[in-house]
Amino acid sequence: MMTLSARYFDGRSSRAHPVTLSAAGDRIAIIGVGLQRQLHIGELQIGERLGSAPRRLALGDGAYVEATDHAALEALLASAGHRFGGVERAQRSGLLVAAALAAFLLIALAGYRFALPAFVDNFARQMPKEVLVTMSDQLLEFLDNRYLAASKLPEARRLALQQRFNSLKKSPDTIAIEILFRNGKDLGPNALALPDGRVVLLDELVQLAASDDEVIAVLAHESMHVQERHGVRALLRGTVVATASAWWMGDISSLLALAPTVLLNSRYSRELEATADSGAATLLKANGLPASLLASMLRKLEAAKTSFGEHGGWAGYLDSHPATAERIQRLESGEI
Amino acid sequence: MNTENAPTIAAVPLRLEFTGHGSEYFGIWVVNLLLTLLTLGIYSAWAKVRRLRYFYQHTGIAGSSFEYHGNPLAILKGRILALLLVLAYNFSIRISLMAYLITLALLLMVMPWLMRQSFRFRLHNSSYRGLRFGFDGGVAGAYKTFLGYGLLTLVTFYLAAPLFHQRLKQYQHGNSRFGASRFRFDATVGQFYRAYALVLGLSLMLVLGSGAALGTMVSMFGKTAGKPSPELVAGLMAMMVGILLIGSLFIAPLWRARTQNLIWNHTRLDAHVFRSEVKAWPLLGLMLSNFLMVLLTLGLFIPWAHVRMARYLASCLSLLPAGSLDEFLAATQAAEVPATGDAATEFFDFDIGL
Repeated sequence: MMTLSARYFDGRSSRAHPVTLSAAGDRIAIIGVGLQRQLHIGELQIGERLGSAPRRLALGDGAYVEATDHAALEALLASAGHRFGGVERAQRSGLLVAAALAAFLLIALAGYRFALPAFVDNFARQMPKEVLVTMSDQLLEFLDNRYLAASKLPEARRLALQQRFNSLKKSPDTIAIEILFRNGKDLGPNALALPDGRVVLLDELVQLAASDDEVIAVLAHESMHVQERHGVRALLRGTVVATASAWWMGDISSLLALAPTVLLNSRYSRELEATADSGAATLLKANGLPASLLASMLRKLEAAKTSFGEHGGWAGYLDSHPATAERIQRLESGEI
Repeated sequence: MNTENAPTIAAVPLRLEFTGHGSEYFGIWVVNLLLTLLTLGIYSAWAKVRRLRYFYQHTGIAGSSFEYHGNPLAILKGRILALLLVLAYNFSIRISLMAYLITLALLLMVMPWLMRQSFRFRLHNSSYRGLRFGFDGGVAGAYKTFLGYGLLTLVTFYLAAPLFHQRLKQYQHGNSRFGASRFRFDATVGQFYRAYALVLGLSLMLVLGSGAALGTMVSMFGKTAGKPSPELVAGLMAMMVGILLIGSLFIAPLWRARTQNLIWNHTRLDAHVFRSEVKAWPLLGLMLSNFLMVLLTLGLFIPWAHVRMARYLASCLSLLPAGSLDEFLAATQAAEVPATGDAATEFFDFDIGL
């Protein structure tokens, strides 16, 4: 018969009673001074062994026994027919912990690489037109109230630009673009695609362009953001990444939780800009215009210290800046 | 532990001790993470129980450690409720201003009740040497504390924050018990204002200082054709937010140390007195090194960070016993009807750490 020493607490006072535990068949006996209890192994609630803390066996009436000799206690419980849980074992086994870590990292990576884009793609594509319009209305209202004023371009010029863009040859499923002309006040030259197909075009950008074709190149780029629903995608993706990183690091520091969000999102927004550049280059070439129009526009905007795009826009200057040279190079080399 | 018959004079301080190890906790943490991910978050309630049990069981005083008895299903219910509340709040903003205000009012109305529920759940499910802790704070007290003083804090632009903090701790610590023994709390509002003074002063200096410095920079360098360029303003705004966040990294441990010490040095259990000696500099070093290590390891250091913090905080708290710790008794009704006595308490947990 196996025995080991343990401590018994009766659940009514805080006094510890030294006892001896023993197992006979599937019954566990607890014997101390003036104390003798016998229970079937199934009546005990056997606590998990967590690290080096004593394991506790609750007797069901508030009383419990605790023992620190883990090996002896485990042998005793096993001899009485107790089976230890898988999670309990995994937590303590170096090999299983390493496997769990590897599995966790693998799933997290696969989720980021495959599940997240698929989710974002599906969700963005299925988002109803009305939601896009509402989102755009809100964004436009915000911009109009704070940053934008009515355009000072002559009506004829505005009409000409809109007609010139409409007359481009496009694939049949292209979403129509409505140009909203505005004056940017302090914002400098810029253009911004709203999710529902409206594009805010600032007077300053039109004035910066050497020709209408250069403006058309920028509009082509913005229309690709609309076509691929980049705004909604970036929003969805940003939300998921922010939630995940808050879960991952939020309880250590909210500042730390911010870092992965910023890093991953700025990388993604650069990817979106590159996609829009490629699409714009294709559209321009199909209409007998060179992709270098967009490049020369980018160069001028760079000199004016702004860069256009839905996200890399006015606030994201620091993020998109290093990529601008690369974008120009891609467009001019005829790579896309 | 043979101090049973010792006279009540010349109490030897009993230090709280944390005996966990990062490497042990790492295993628990990793398995928790994997299962939480595989079950799309549902397992997080079970993960919480395992985590708390690890920390309770490795926190001890006078040769015995604590135990956590929370039921994962109750925690899961609480989490689902919290999720629903967050969703309701977010959706109401999109519907209309009226819907938003109504939701906000409803949330404010249930929040004190939920806070009380959270205190009750946490304490009822904590034990030491087989005796459960308990919380007897009433519903009226919860509304007065959270709604009354909480709103007062907002209305006064946080000038009433120390008052709110004192009332909160008075409600929380003043209504807690261990078995049949009551906790008492006697820190005054004045003492809370004194503890906050330095922290508030430093925060104010940080905000005004960084604001003034950046404002000067804008006016000196930022003028392009009479107006500061938007990029520069945006960049400087980001810099200011950064300075504030990093500054708060330094002020947080000071606040933590001062309030923690004040609270525990004025809490007693029957005639037993607590002594808390958290120091701002070691705490700052701990928080900064944890921050850096978590950053460098992309999060894998998190279990060690938690263990290091638990070890330091435990080592700062001691109990000056007025007599033997063997003499505590269970609250009578809790001992007689353990299952039904706190049925409402068992229903669900609401996750709020205060």
